[in-house]
Amino acid sequence: MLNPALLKRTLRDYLPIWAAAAIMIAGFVVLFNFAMQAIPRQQTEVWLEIPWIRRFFVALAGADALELTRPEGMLSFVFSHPLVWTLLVAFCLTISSGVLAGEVDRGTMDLLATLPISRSRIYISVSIVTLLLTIALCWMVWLGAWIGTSMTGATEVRMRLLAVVCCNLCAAMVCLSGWSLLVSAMSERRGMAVAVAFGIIFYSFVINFLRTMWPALEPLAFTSYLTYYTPLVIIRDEAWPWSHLLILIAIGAACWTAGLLVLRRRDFPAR
Amino acid sequence: MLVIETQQLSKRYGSIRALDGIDLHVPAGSIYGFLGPNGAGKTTAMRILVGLLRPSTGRASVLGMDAIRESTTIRKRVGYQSGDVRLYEWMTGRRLLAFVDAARGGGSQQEAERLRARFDLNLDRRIRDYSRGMKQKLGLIAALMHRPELLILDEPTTALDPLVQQTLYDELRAAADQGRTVLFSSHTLSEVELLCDRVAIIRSGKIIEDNHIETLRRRAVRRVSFRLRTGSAAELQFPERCILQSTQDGMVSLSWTGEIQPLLRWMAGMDLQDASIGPPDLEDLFTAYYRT
Repeated sequence: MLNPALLKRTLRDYLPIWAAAAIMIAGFVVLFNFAMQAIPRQQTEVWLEIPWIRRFFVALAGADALELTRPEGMLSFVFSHPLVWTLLVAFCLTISSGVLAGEVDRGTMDLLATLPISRSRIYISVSIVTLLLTIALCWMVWLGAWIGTSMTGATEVRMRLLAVVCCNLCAAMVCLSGWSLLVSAMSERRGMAVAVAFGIIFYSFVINFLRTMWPALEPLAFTSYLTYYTPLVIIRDEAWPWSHLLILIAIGAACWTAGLLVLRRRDFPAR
Repeated sequence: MLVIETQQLSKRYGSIRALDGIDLHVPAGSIYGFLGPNGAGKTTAMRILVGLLRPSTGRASVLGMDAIRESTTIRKRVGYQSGDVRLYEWMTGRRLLAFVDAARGGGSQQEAERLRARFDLNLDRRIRDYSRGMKQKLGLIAALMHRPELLILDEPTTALDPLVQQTLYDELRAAADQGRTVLFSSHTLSEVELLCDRVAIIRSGKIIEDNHIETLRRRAVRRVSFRLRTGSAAELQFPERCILQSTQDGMVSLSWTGEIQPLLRWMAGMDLQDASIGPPDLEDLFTAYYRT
Protein backbone atom coordinates (compact mmCIF):
# COMPACT_ATOMS: atom_id res chain seq x y z
CA MET A 1 0.00 0.00 0.00
CA LEU A 2 3.01 2.28 0.33
CA ASN A 3 5.47 3.45 -2.24
CA PRO A 4 8.94 3.39 -0.61
CA ALA A 5 10.38 5.99 -3.02
CA LEU A 6 7.58 8.45 -2.34
CA LEU A 7 7.70 7.74 1.37
CA LYS A 8 11.44 8.40 1.42
CA ARG A 9 11.17 11.53 -0.70
CA THR A 10 8.38 13.05 1.43
CA LEU A 11 10.23 12.23 4.62
CA ARG A 12 13.42 13.76 3.27
CA ASP A 13 11.60 16.90 2.11
CA TYR A 14 9.93 17.60 5.45
CA LEU A 15 12.49 16.27 7.93
CA PRO A 16 14.48 19.55 8.14
CA ILE A 17 11.33 21.56 9.00
CA TRP A 18 10.32 18.87 11.47
CA ALA A 19 13.74 18.94 13.14
CA ALA A 20 13.61 22.73 13.47
CA ALA A 21 10.10 22.63 14.96
CA ALA A 22 11.06 19.73 17.27
CA ILE A 23 14.08 21.59 18.65
CA MET A 24 12.02 24.74 19.18
CA ILE A 25 9.20 22.88 20.95
CA ALA A 26 11.40 20.71 23.17
CA GLY A 27 13.68 23.67 23.93
CA PHE A 28 10.74 25.89 24.86
CA VAL A 29 9.25 23.23 27.15
CA VAL A 30 12.60 22.76 28.92
CA LEU A 31 12.78 26.51 29.50
CA PHE A 32 9.14 26.49 30.64
CA ASN A 33 10.11 23.96 33.31
CA PHE A 34 12.79 26.27 34.61
CA ALA A 35 10.37 29.20 34.56
CA MET A 36 7.82 27.19 36.55
CA GLN A 37 10.47 26.54 39.17
CA ALA A 38 11.47 30.19 39.31
CA ILE A 39 7.98 31.71 39.51
CA PRO A 40 6.23 31.15 42.85
CA ARG A 41 2.94 29.26 42.68
CA GLN A 42 1.13 32.21 44.28
CA GLN A 43 2.27 34.48 41.46
CA THR A 44 0.84 32.12 38.83
CA GLU A 45 -2.45 32.01 40.71
CA VAL A 46 -2.59 35.81 40.68
CA TRP A 47 -2.23 35.76 36.89
CA LEU A 48 -4.88 33.10 36.56
CA GLU A 49 -7.29 35.27 38.59
CA ILE A 50 -7.33 37.72 35.66
CA PRO A 51 -10.62 36.79 33.92
CA TRP A 52 -9.49 36.83 30.28
CA ILE A 53 -6.33 34.83 31.00
CA ARG A 54 -8.41 32.33 32.94
CA ARG A 55 -10.92 32.03 30.09
CA PHE A 56 -8.13 31.72 27.57
CA PHE A 57 -6.70 28.75 29.46
CA VAL A 58 -10.12 27.16 29.93
CA ALA A 59 -10.59 27.46 26.14
CA LEU A 60 -7.22 25.84 25.47
CA ALA A 61 -6.93 23.31 28.30
CA GLY A 62 -10.55 22.34 28.87
CA ALA A 63 -10.80 23.10 32.62
CA ASP A 64 -10.19 25.81 35.17
CA ALA A 65 -6.51 25.80 36.10
CA LEU A 66 -7.26 27.15 39.58
CA GLU A 67 -8.94 23.85 40.45
CA LEU A 68 -5.55 22.18 40.24
CA THR A 69 -2.89 22.02 42.83
CA ARG A 70 -0.90 19.08 41.46
CA PRO A 71 2.59 19.71 40.04
CA GLU A 72 1.51 18.17 36.70
CA GLY A 73 -1.23 20.81 36.47
CA MET A 74 1.15 23.68 35.93
CA LEU A 75 3.34 21.66 33.59
CA SER A 76 0.34 20.57 31.52
CA PHE A 77 0.02 24.24 30.45
CA VAL A 78 2.76 23.62 27.91
CA PHE A 79 0.42 21.22 26.14
CA SER A 80 -1.92 24.17 25.59
CA HIS A 81 0.63 26.94 25.33
CA PRO A 82 -0.04 29.20 22.29
CA LEU A 83 3.58 28.97 21.12
CA VAL A 84 3.57 25.16 21.22
CA TRP A 85 0.21 25.05 19.46
CA THR A 86 1.32 27.55 16.85
CA LEU A 87 4.37 25.42 16.02
CA LEU A 88 2.37 22.19 15.97
CA VAL A 89 -0.44 23.62 13.85
CA ALA A 90 1.98 25.40 11.50
CA PHE A 91 3.90 22.18 10.92
CA CYS A 92 0.75 20.12 10.47
CA LEU A 93 -0.71 22.57 7.94
CA THR A 94 2.62 22.99 6.12
CA ILE A 95 3.09 19.28 5.51
CA SER A 96 -0.52 18.31 4.86
CA SER A 97 -1.06 21.16 2.40
CA GLY A 98 2.35 20.65 0.78
CA VAL A 99 2.02 16.95 0.03
CA LEU A 100 -1.13 17.25 -2.11
CA ALA A 101 -2.36 20.80 -2.81
CA GLY A 102 1.28 21.96 -2.97
CA GLU A 103 1.99 19.38 -5.70
CA VAL A 104 -0.97 20.61 -7.73
CA ASP A 105 -0.13 24.26 -7.08
CA ARG A 106 3.46 24.04 -8.29
CA GLY A 107 2.53 21.73 -11.16
CA THR A 108 4.57 18.72 -10.00
CA MET A 109 1.42 16.60 -9.65
CA ASP A 110 1.70 16.04 -13.43
CA LEU A 111 4.92 14.14 -12.81
CA LEU A 112 3.83 12.38 -9.63
CA ALA A 113 0.39 11.32 -10.84
CA THR A 114 1.76 9.93 -14.11
CA LEU A 115 4.25 7.64 -12.37
CA PRO A 116 2.99 4.09 -11.94
CA ILE A 117 1.79 4.74 -8.40
CA SER A 118 -1.94 4.57 -7.83
CA ARG A 119 -3.53 7.66 -6.35
CA SER A 120 -4.47 5.64 -3.26
CA ARG A 121 -0.82 4.74 -2.73
CA ILE A 122 0.22 8.36 -3.22
CA TYR A 123 -2.34 9.46 -0.63
CA ILE A 124 -1.50 6.72 1.86
CA SER A 125 2.26 7.24 1.52
CA VAL A 126 2.15 11.00 2.07
CA SER A 127 -0.45 10.64 4.82
CA ILE A 128 1.74 8.18 6.72
CA VAL A 129 4.62 10.66 6.68
CA THR A 130 2.30 13.52 7.67
CA LEU A 131 0.83 11.59 10.59
CA LEU A 132 4.11 10.11 11.81
CA LEU A 133 5.94 13.43 11.79
CA THR A 134 3.03 15.31 13.39
CA ILE A 135 2.65 12.70 16.15
CA ALA A 136 6.41 12.63 16.70
CA LEU A 137 6.33 16.43 17.04
CA CYS A 138 3.58 16.15 19.69
CA TRP A 139 5.82 13.83 21.68
CA MET A 140 8.52 16.51 21.64
CA VAL A 141 6.36 18.39 24.16
CA TRP A 142 6.45 15.39 26.49
CA LEU A 143 10.16 14.87 25.82
CA GLY A 144 10.87 18.53 26.65
CA ALA A 145 8.85 18.15 29.86
CA TRP A 146 10.79 15.01 30.79
CA ILE A 147 14.16 16.64 30.08
CA GLY A 148 13.06 19.77 31.95
CA THR A 149 11.83 17.93 35.05
CA SER A 150 15.01 15.81 35.08
CA MET A 151 17.15 18.92 34.88
CA THR A 152 15.21 20.87 37.51
CA GLY A 153 14.85 17.86 39.81
CA ALA A 154 11.03 18.10 39.85
CA THR A 155 10.70 14.38 40.58
CA GLU A 156 7.14 14.73 41.91
CA VAL A 157 5.84 15.25 38.35
CA ARG A 158 4.31 12.01 37.07
CA MET A 159 5.42 11.72 33.47
CA ARG A 160 2.93 8.88 32.89
CA LEU A 161 0.06 11.28 33.51
CA LEU A 162 1.59 13.78 31.10
CA ALA A 163 1.89 10.95 28.57
CA VAL A 164 -1.91 10.59 28.69
CA VAL A 165 -2.18 14.33 28.03
CA CYS A 166 0.23 13.88 25.14
CA CYS A 167 -1.98 11.12 23.70
CA ASN A 168 -4.89 13.55 23.80
CA LEU A 169 -2.71 16.09 21.98
CA CYS A 170 -1.77 13.46 19.38
CA ALA A 171 -5.45 12.62 18.84
CA ALA A 172 -6.25 16.33 18.36
CA MET A 173 -3.45 16.59 15.80
CA VAL A 174 -4.59 13.39 14.04
CA CYS A 175 -8.01 15.02 13.75
CA LEU A 176 -6.47 18.21 12.37
CA SER A 177 -4.20 16.26 9.98
CA GLY A 178 -7.18 14.28 8.63
CA TRP A 179 -9.12 17.47 8.06
CA SER A 180 -6.18 19.26 6.41
CA LEU A 181 -5.43 16.27 4.17
CA LEU A 182 -9.07 16.30 3.02
CA VAL A 183 -8.88 20.02 2.24
CA SER A 184 -5.50 19.53 0.56
CA ALA A 185 -6.84 16.68 -1.61
CA MET A 186 -9.66 18.95 -2.81
CA SER A 187 -7.61 22.08 -3.45
CA GLU A 188 -5.83 23.50 -6.46
CA ARG A 189 -3.95 26.12 -4.42
CA ARG A 190 -1.83 25.50 -1.38
CA GLY A 191 -2.65 28.88 0.17
CA MET A 192 -6.35 28.13 -0.09
CA ALA A 193 -5.84 24.72 1.52
CA VAL A 194 -3.99 26.28 4.45
CA ALA A 195 -6.63 29.00 4.84
CA VAL A 196 -9.56 26.55 4.84
CA ALA A 197 -7.79 24.12 7.18
CA PHE A 198 -6.88 26.96 9.52
CA GLY A 199 -10.51 28.10 9.46
CA ILE A 200 -11.58 25.05 11.47
CA ILE A 201 -8.90 25.73 14.11
CA PHE A 202 -9.99 29.32 14.36
CA TYR A 203 -13.65 28.33 14.58
CA SER A 204 -12.91 25.76 17.30
CA PHE A 205 -10.91 28.22 19.35
CA VAL A 206 -13.55 30.97 19.02
CA ILE A 207 -16.35 28.62 20.08
CA ASN A 208 -14.32 27.32 23.01
CA PHE A 209 -13.33 30.82 24.11
CA LEU A 210 -16.73 32.47 23.71
CA ARG A 211 -18.70 29.70 25.39
CA THR A 212 -16.86 30.40 28.65
CA MET A 213 -18.48 33.87 28.59
CA TRP A 214 -21.65 33.17 26.66
CA PRO A 215 -23.43 29.98 27.70
CA ALA A 216 -25.82 30.27 24.73
CA LEU A 217 -22.98 28.87 22.61
CA GLU A 218 -22.77 25.70 24.72
CA PRO A 219 -24.94 23.65 22.27
CA LEU A 220 -22.31 24.34 19.58
CA ALA A 221 -19.48 23.07 21.76
CA PHE A 222 -19.60 19.60 20.22
CA THR A 223 -18.68 21.10 16.82
CA SER A 224 -15.38 22.39 18.15
CA TYR A 225 -12.63 19.80 18.12
CA LEU A 226 -10.92 21.58 21.04
CA THR A 227 -13.86 20.48 23.19
CA TYR A 228 -12.31 17.01 23.05
CA TYR A 229 -8.87 18.24 24.01
CA THR A 230 -8.80 18.53 27.79
CA PRO A 231 -5.33 18.30 29.36
CA LEU A 232 -6.36 19.79 32.70
CA VAL A 233 -9.32 17.43 33.02
CA ILE A 234 -6.96 14.49 32.48
CA ILE A 235 -4.66 15.77 35.23
CA ARG A 236 -7.59 16.47 37.56
CA ASP A 237 -9.35 13.13 37.04
CA GLU A 238 -6.21 11.07 36.45
CA ALA A 239 -8.08 9.09 33.81
CA TRP A 240 -7.77 8.27 30.11
CA PRO A 241 -10.22 10.42 28.09
CA TRP A 242 -11.31 7.44 25.99
CA SER A 243 -14.42 9.04 24.53
CA HIS A 244 -12.53 12.17 23.53
CA LEU A 245 -9.71 10.16 21.98
CA LEU A 246 -12.19 8.09 20.01
CA ILE A 247 -14.14 11.11 18.79
CA LEU A 248 -10.98 12.94 17.64
CA ILE A 249 -9.53 9.89 15.92
CA ALA A 250 -12.89 9.03 14.32
CA ILE A 251 -13.25 12.58 12.91
CA GLY A 252 -9.66 12.44 11.67
CA ALA A 253 -10.22 9.01 10.08
CA ALA A 254 -13.48 10.10 8.44
CA CYS A 255 -11.85 13.21 6.96
CA TRP A 256 -8.82 11.17 5.87
CA THR A 257 -11.04 8.60 4.11
CA ALA A 258 -13.02 11.37 2.42
CA GLY A 259 -9.70 12.87 1.22
CA LEU A 260 -8.70 9.50 -0.23
CA LEU A 261 -11.98 9.21 -2.15
CA VAL A 262 -11.67 12.79 -3.43
CA LEU A 263 -8.08 12.31 -4.62
CA ARG A 264 -8.92 9.03 -6.37
CA ARG A 265 -11.66 10.65 -8.43
CA ARG A 266 -10.51 14.20 -8.99
CA ASP A 267 -9.16 15.74 -12.18
CA PHE A 268 -5.80 17.39 -12.59
CA PRO A 269 -6.35 19.85 -15.45
CA ALA A 270 -3.43 21.58 -17.16
CA ARG A 271 -2.29 24.72 -15.39
CA MET B 1 -2.63 -3.39 -33.45
CA LEU B 2 -3.91 -0.15 -31.97
CA VAL B 3 -1.97 1.23 -29.00
CA ILE B 4 -4.45 4.03 -28.36
CA GLU B 5 -8.11 3.79 -29.18
CA THR B 6 -10.76 6.23 -28.08
CA GLN B 7 -14.47 6.09 -28.72
CA GLN B 8 -16.57 9.23 -28.54
CA LEU B 9 -14.27 10.63 -25.88
CA SER B 10 -15.61 13.85 -24.40
CA LYS B 11 -14.62 16.17 -21.61
CA ARG B 12 -16.67 19.03 -20.28
CA TYR B 13 -15.72 21.70 -17.79
CA GLY B 14 -19.10 23.07 -16.79
CA SER B 15 -20.56 24.51 -19.97
CA ILE B 16 -17.23 24.36 -21.82
CA ARG B 17 -16.76 21.35 -24.06
CA ALA B 18 -13.00 20.75 -24.16
CA LEU B 19 -13.32 17.47 -26.07
CA ASP B 20 -16.31 16.61 -28.18
CA GLY B 21 -16.56 12.92 -28.96
CA ILE B 22 -13.16 12.18 -30.46
CA ASP B 23 -12.24 8.84 -31.99
CA LEU B 24 -8.51 8.41 -32.05
CA HIS B 25 -6.74 5.34 -33.43
CA VAL B 26 -2.98 5.21 -32.96
CA PRO B 27 -1.29 2.12 -34.45
CA ALA B 28 1.66 0.42 -32.73
CA GLY B 29 5.13 1.51 -33.83
CA SER B 30 3.96 4.78 -35.35
CA ILE B 31 4.89 8.36 -34.66
CA TYR B 32 1.52 9.99 -34.49
CA GLY B 33 1.18 13.74 -34.68
CA PHE B 34 -1.55 15.51 -32.84
CA LEU B 35 -1.99 18.92 -34.38
CA GLY B 36 -4.21 21.79 -33.50
CA PRO B 37 -4.27 25.40 -32.43
CA ASN B 38 -3.99 26.39 -28.76
CA GLY B 39 -7.02 25.35 -26.76
CA ALA B 40 -8.16 22.83 -29.39
CA GLY B 41 -8.20 19.92 -26.90
CA LYS B 42 -4.84 18.19 -27.54
CA THR B 43 -3.66 18.48 -23.95
CA THR B 44 -7.04 17.43 -22.55
CA ALA B 45 -7.03 14.27 -24.69
CA MET B 46 -3.46 13.41 -23.67
CA ARG B 47 -4.21 13.99 -19.98
CA ILE B 48 -7.15 11.60 -20.19
CA LEU B 49 -4.90 8.96 -21.74
CA VAL B 50 -2.40 9.14 -18.85
CA GLY B 51 -5.10 9.24 -16.16
CA LEU B 52 -4.79 12.87 -15.06
CA LEU B 53 -8.35 13.60 -16.19
CA ARG B 54 -11.49 11.50 -16.26
CA PRO B 55 -13.58 11.70 -19.42
CA SER B 56 -17.11 13.03 -19.12
CA THR B 57 -18.31 10.43 -21.62
CA GLY B 58 -16.78 7.91 -23.98
CA ARG B 59 -14.04 5.33 -23.65
CA ALA B 60 -10.28 5.37 -23.96
CA SER B 61 -8.10 2.32 -24.23
CA VAL B 62 -4.30 2.45 -23.98
CA LEU B 63 -2.13 -0.61 -24.73
CA GLY B 64 -5.32 -2.64 -24.75
CA MET B 65 -6.33 -1.54 -21.25
CA ASP B 66 -9.01 0.81 -19.97
CA ALA B 67 -7.40 4.21 -19.48
CA ILE B 68 -9.28 4.89 -16.25
CA ARG B 69 -9.67 1.53 -14.52
CA GLU B 70 -6.19 0.25 -15.35
CA SER B 71 -4.41 3.57 -15.29
CA THR B 72 -1.65 2.52 -12.87
CA THR B 73 -0.72 -0.54 -14.95
CA ILE B 74 -0.76 1.57 -18.11
CA ARG B 75 1.57 4.18 -16.59
CA LYS B 76 4.25 1.51 -16.03
CA ARG B 77 4.48 1.19 -19.81
CA VAL B 78 3.96 4.82 -20.77
CA GLY B 79 6.25 7.84 -20.68
CA TYR B 80 4.54 11.22 -20.46
CA GLN B 81 5.75 14.75 -20.59
CA SER B 82 3.34 17.60 -20.02
CA GLY B 83 3.44 20.76 -22.07
CA ASP B 84 4.50 22.92 -19.17
CA VAL B 85 7.28 20.98 -17.46
CA ARG B 86 7.22 21.54 -13.68
CA LEU B 87 9.69 19.65 -11.51
CA TYR B 88 10.79 19.64 -7.88
CA GLU B 89 12.85 22.82 -7.91
CA TRP B 90 14.81 22.05 -4.76
CA MET B 91 16.16 18.73 -6.09
CA THR B 92 19.16 18.24 -8.33
CA GLY B 93 18.50 16.71 -11.73
CA ARG B 94 20.21 13.51 -10.58
CA ARG B 95 18.05 13.22 -7.47
CA LEU B 96 14.89 13.78 -9.47
CA LEU B 97 15.80 11.01 -11.92
CA ALA B 98 16.71 8.70 -9.02
CA PHE B 99 13.30 9.38 -7.45
CA VAL B 100 11.44 8.77 -10.72
CA ASP B 101 13.43 5.58 -11.28
CA ALA B 102 12.79 4.30 -7.75
CA ALA B 103 9.09 5.17 -7.96
CA ARG B 104 8.87 3.08 -11.17
CA GLY B 105 10.64 0.17 -9.49
CA GLY B 106 14.22 0.86 -10.64
CA GLY B 107 16.39 -0.43 -13.45
CA SER B 108 16.53 2.59 -15.73
CA GLN B 109 19.60 4.44 -14.44
CA GLN B 110 21.78 3.23 -17.31
CA GLU B 111 19.36 4.48 -19.93
CA ALA B 112 19.03 7.74 -17.99
CA GLU B 113 22.78 8.19 -18.18
CA ARG B 114 22.77 7.49 -21.92
CA LEU B 115 20.03 10.06 -22.44
CA ARG B 116 21.82 12.57 -20.21
CA ALA B 117 24.85 12.28 -22.46
CA ARG B 118 22.70 12.54 -25.60
CA PHE B 119 20.93 15.68 -24.35
CA ASP B 120 24.14 17.03 -22.78
CA LEU B 121 22.61 17.94 -19.43
CA ASN B 122 24.38 18.66 -16.14
CA LEU B 123 22.47 16.66 -13.53
CA ASP B 124 24.34 17.97 -10.51
CA ARG B 125 22.72 21.40 -10.46
CA ARG B 126 19.54 22.21 -8.61
CA ILE B 127 16.51 22.31 -10.89
CA ARG B 128 15.72 25.85 -9.74
CA ASP B 129 18.97 26.91 -11.44
CA TYR B 130 18.06 25.23 -14.73
CA SER B 131 16.89 27.21 -17.75
CA ARG B 132 13.52 26.34 -19.27
CA GLY B 133 15.20 24.30 -21.98
CA MET B 134 17.22 22.33 -19.43
CA LYS B 135 14.07 21.55 -17.46
CA GLN B 136 12.48 20.37 -20.68
CA LYS B 137 15.46 18.09 -21.35
CA LEU B 138 15.24 16.68 -17.83
CA GLY B 139 11.51 16.09 -18.24
CA LEU B 140 12.20 14.25 -21.49
CA ILE B 141 14.87 12.06 -19.87
CA ALA B 142 12.39 11.23 -17.08
CA ALA B 143 9.76 10.31 -19.69
CA LEU B 144 12.11 8.24 -21.87
CA MET B 145 14.44 6.58 -19.34
CA HIS B 146 12.34 3.45 -18.69
CA ARG B 147 12.08 2.78 -22.45
CA PRO B 148 8.26 2.93 -22.46
CA GLU B 149 6.17 1.16 -25.08
CA LEU B 150 4.18 4.35 -25.57
CA LEU B 151 5.43 7.92 -25.34
CA ILE B 152 2.90 10.70 -24.93
CA LEU B 153 4.62 14.04 -25.39
CA ASP B 154 2.75 17.32 -25.18
CA GLU B 155 4.58 19.93 -27.26
CA PRO B 156 7.98 18.57 -26.19
CA THR B 157 10.16 20.85 -28.31
CA THR B 158 8.83 24.29 -27.34
CA ALA B 159 11.85 25.33 -25.26
CA LEU B 160 14.52 23.26 -27.04
CA ASP B 161 17.18 24.66 -29.32
CA PRO B 162 17.34 23.23 -32.89
CA LEU B 163 20.23 20.88 -32.09
CA VAL B 164 18.46 19.34 -29.12
CA GLN B 165 15.25 19.15 -31.15
CA GLN B 166 17.18 17.10 -33.70
CA THR B 167 18.46 14.80 -30.94
CA LEU B 168 14.91 14.32 -29.71
CA TYR B 169 13.68 13.55 -33.23
CA ASP B 170 16.43 10.92 -33.56
CA GLU B 171 15.44 9.37 -30.22
CA LEU B 172 11.79 9.26 -31.22
CA ARG B 173 12.59 7.73 -34.63
CA ALA B 174 14.78 5.13 -32.90
CA ALA B 175 11.93 4.35 -30.49
CA ALA B 176 9.52 3.89 -33.41
CA ASP B 177 12.05 1.66 -35.20
CA GLN B 178 12.08 -0.55 -32.09
CA GLY B 179 8.30 -0.91 -32.37
CA ARG B 180 7.49 1.64 -29.71
CA THR B 181 4.78 4.23 -30.30
CA VAL B 182 4.92 8.00 -30.01
CA LEU B 183 1.95 10.35 -29.68
CA PHE B 184 3.30 13.79 -30.20
CA SER B 185 1.36 17.03 -29.97
CA SER B 186 2.45 20.21 -31.63
CA HIS B 187 1.15 23.28 -33.27
CA THR B 188 4.24 23.48 -35.48
CA LEU B 189 3.45 21.84 -38.75
CA SER B 190 7.03 21.48 -39.99
CA GLU B 191 7.86 19.37 -36.93
CA VAL B 192 4.95 17.03 -37.46
CA GLU B 193 5.65 16.82 -41.17
CA LEU B 194 9.29 15.96 -40.50
CA LEU B 195 8.63 13.32 -37.88
CA CYS B 196 5.20 11.79 -38.04
CA ASP B 197 3.75 8.95 -40.09
CA ARG B 198 0.22 9.92 -39.37
CA VAL B 199 -1.50 12.99 -38.09
CA ALA B 200 -4.77 13.90 -36.43
CA ILE B 201 -5.95 17.48 -36.54
CA ILE B 202 -8.10 18.65 -33.71
CA ARG B 203 -10.12 21.83 -33.61
CA SER B 204 -12.63 22.98 -30.98
CA GLY B 205 -12.49 19.57 -29.34
CA LYS B 206 -13.25 17.60 -32.51
CA ILE B 207 -10.96 15.60 -34.77
CA ILE B 208 -11.42 17.10 -38.21
CA GLU B 209 -8.77 15.06 -40.04
CA ASP B 210 -6.96 11.81 -39.27
CA ASN B 211 -4.72 10.59 -42.04
CA HIS B 212 -1.26 9.60 -43.24
CA ILE B 213 1.09 12.48 -43.87
CA GLU B 214 1.57 11.19 -47.43
CA THR B 215 -2.16 11.28 -48.11
CA LEU B 216 -2.36 14.81 -46.80
CA ARG B 217 0.66 15.79 -48.83
CA ARG B 218 -1.14 14.59 -51.97
CA ARG B 219 -3.95 16.94 -51.07
CA ALA B 220 -1.61 19.79 -50.33
CA VAL B 221 -1.14 22.85 -52.45
CA ARG B 222 1.99 23.50 -54.57
CA ARG B 223 3.04 26.95 -55.59
CA VAL B 224 3.72 26.94 -59.33
CA SER B 225 5.01 29.77 -61.45
CA PHE B 226 6.12 29.90 -65.07
CA ARG B 227 6.89 32.36 -67.81
CA LEU B 228 5.64 31.69 -71.34
CA ARG B 229 8.10 32.09 -74.21
CA THR B 230 5.26 32.38 -76.72
CA GLY B 231 1.57 32.99 -76.32
CA SER B 232 -0.37 34.78 -73.61
CA ALA B 233 -1.66 33.69 -70.24
CA ALA B 234 -5.12 34.78 -71.24
CA GLU B 235 -5.21 32.01 -73.83
CA LEU B 236 -4.38 29.27 -71.35
CA GLN B 237 -6.94 26.62 -70.40
CA PHE B 238 -6.47 26.06 -66.66
CA PRO B 239 -7.21 22.55 -65.34
CA GLU B 240 -9.65 22.06 -62.49
CA ARG B 241 -7.01 21.51 -59.84
CA CYS B 242 -5.32 24.82 -60.28
CA ILE B 243 -6.22 28.25 -59.06
CA LEU B 244 -4.70 31.18 -60.86
CA GLN B 245 -3.11 33.56 -58.42
CA SER B 246 -1.68 36.25 -60.70
CA THR B 247 -0.29 37.07 -64.10
CA GLN B 248 2.24 39.84 -64.18
CA ASP B 249 4.78 40.72 -66.86
CA GLY B 250 4.25 37.35 -68.49
CA MET B 251 4.85 35.48 -65.23
CA VAL B 252 1.94 33.20 -64.28
CA SER B 253 1.55 32.23 -60.63
CA LEU B 254 -0.90 29.57 -59.54
CA SER B 255 -1.58 27.02 -56.86
CA TRP B 256 -1.96 23.34 -57.68
CA THR B 257 -3.69 20.76 -55.50
CA GLY B 258 -3.02 17.03 -55.70
CA GLU B 259 -0.84 14.71 -57.81
CA ILE B 260 2.00 16.27 -59.76
CA GLN B 261 1.70 14.13 -62.96
CA PRO B 262 -1.30 15.97 -64.48
CA LEU B 263 0.47 19.27 -63.75
CA LEU B 264 3.62 18.14 -65.58
CA ARG B 265 1.57 16.89 -68.52
CA TRP B 266 -0.27 20.20 -68.71
CA MET B 267 2.91 22.25 -68.52
CA ALA B 268 4.62 20.05 -71.12
CA GLY B 269 2.10 21.33 -73.65
CA MET B 270 3.28 24.92 -73.26
CA ASP B 271 6.28 26.75 -74.66
CA LEU B 272 7.93 27.80 -71.40
CA GLN B 273 10.83 30.14 -70.87
CA ASP B 274 11.12 29.40 -67.16
CA ALA B 275 9.21 27.43 -64.53
CA SER B 276 9.31 26.57 -60.86
CA ILE B 277 7.22 24.03 -58.94
CA GLY B 278 7.34 24.23 -55.17
CA PRO B 279 7.01 21.25 -52.80
CA PRO B 280 3.57 20.35 -51.45
CA ASP B 281 2.87 22.94 -48.80
CA LEU B 282 0.89 21.48 -45.93
CA GLU B 283 0.87 24.83 -44.17
CA ASP B 284 -1.97 26.13 -46.33
CA LEU B 285 -3.93 22.93 -45.90
CA PHE B 286 -3.60 23.04 -42.14
CA THR B 287 -4.32 26.74 -41.96
CA ALA B 288 -7.49 26.03 -43.89
CA TYR B 289 -8.39 23.25 -41.42
CA TYR B 290 -7.78 25.56 -38.48
CA ARG B 291 -9.92 28.31 -39.96
CA THR B 292 -12.91 26.44 -41.38
